[in-house]
Amino acid sequence: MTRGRIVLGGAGIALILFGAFRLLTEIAVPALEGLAIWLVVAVALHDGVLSPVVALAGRVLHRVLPPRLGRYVSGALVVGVGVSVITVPLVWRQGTQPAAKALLQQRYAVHLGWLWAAIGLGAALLYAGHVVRDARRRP
Amino acid sequence: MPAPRLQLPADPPRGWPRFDERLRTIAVTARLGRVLGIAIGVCFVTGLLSHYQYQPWSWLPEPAHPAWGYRFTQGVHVTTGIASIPLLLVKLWSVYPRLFAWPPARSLVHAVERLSVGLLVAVALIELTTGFLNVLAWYPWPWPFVAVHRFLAYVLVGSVLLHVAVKLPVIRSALARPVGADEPVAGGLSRRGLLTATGAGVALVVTTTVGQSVGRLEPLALLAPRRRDQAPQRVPVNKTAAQARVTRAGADWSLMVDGPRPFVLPLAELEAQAGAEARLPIACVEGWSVDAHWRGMRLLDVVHRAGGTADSTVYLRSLQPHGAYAHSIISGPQLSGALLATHLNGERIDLDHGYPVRLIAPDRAGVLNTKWLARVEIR
Repeated sequence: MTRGRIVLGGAGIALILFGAFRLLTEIAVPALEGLAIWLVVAVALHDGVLSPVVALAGRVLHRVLPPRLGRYVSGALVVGVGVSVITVPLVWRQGTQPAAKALLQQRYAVHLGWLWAAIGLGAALLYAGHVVRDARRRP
Repeated sequence: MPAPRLQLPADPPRGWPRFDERLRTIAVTARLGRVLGIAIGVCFVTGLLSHYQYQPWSWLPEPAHPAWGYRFTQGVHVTTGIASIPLLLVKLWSVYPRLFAWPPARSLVHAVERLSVGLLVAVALIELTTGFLNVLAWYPWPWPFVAVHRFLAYVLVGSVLLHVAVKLPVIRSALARPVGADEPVAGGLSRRGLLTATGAGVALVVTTTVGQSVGRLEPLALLAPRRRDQAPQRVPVNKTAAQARVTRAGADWSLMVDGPRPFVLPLAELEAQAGAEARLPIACVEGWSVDAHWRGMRLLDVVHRAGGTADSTVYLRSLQPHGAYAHSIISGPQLSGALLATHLNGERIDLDHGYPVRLIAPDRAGVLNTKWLARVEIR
């Protein structure tokens, strides 16, 4: 192990211990219990629900779609899911704040629909370009 | 002494999950991790700068130049935080099969290393999620957000550094290796295509949210939590007068000024002397910011009249009866650039923006620009 890695790892452990020390000494026990539950549930939801669903969706796409089309559908899904993940809480919280705050006043679900349409259109154009290129290459 | 080995069957049990790993190579993971690591590092440093706004050391007051300093650093903090959410999800997707690696641990050291990765994943998910929900004024958890967000940030960055230290040889070789030819693999997507799609997703998230910090991009801000074009006097409000339990001050309101030569500044006199103008951004810890035109009285003129100097420390107290930001402290360069603002964007300042008068200072976090002022104390 090189000296650089030891310094890096040591700094990492020191920061973890510093953060943990501040948490344990400055945050009340019931709040810490809540935090511990959230940390465990976050990993459980990600590893136990979200990831298997995504892996399953990937397998289904791979089986159902021909590779050339699947390429653009998968790409569009990566873009669209990334955008959707941050939009879900926006939609959920929409309209909960006084108008003067100018907070959460947009029609986020409608905007997400526009963005999915734009992503779909972009993917369709790229796919069409690919089809045309392949057709030209064919003798 | 050799590290103790864990005794496990050589093969995983029947039904143990298997994955198509042609797309999830270490070359892909290392490239995703590199960008995510940089984003988390930037987020951490800008977060510390924001924390310093709230608790500066007395011997090192906040600078006042550039006036847009906090606007920039906090806009970067929130934008990189939001951008890290899709990035983290793709990064975790790329290493998901490793969760089912067999054997689960080769040695006690390896088991500890895997647990540290578990800590990293848990803290990253919570830190980014709660940070984003804070921007949406949503606190469905039982702990104080600000303190826990800061302490978890140390744990997160520490876990990232430890992870990089452990994986450095793998990261180095992975980054030296080409991502792979452009051939389609799982689901038809190529490795290069996956990285391109991830980049496009992150770019789209940034483009549709950053308009809350960068005015020129506001027309594209379809997913921005805040929009100034929907706000009174084109400036969003963090806390309304109703939320702060402040009612509109009457004509008999006066600003109490306490110092070596205390005096009372009646509303009419304050308005008559409101001749100083400044173009200053108001920048919120939640990432939104707006450039605005302010008019009012220079705070330093008030301080001088009360017997203070540019080196004084000034306490500003609000009509707001309760709350962490019912008062603030200003000193040093920010004091010299501060206004007691009575006008915003050419109009008498709205009640929600702090009528009858509020503080506005350069390079200062939004909530520290105390609204609905009642009292100025020079010490």
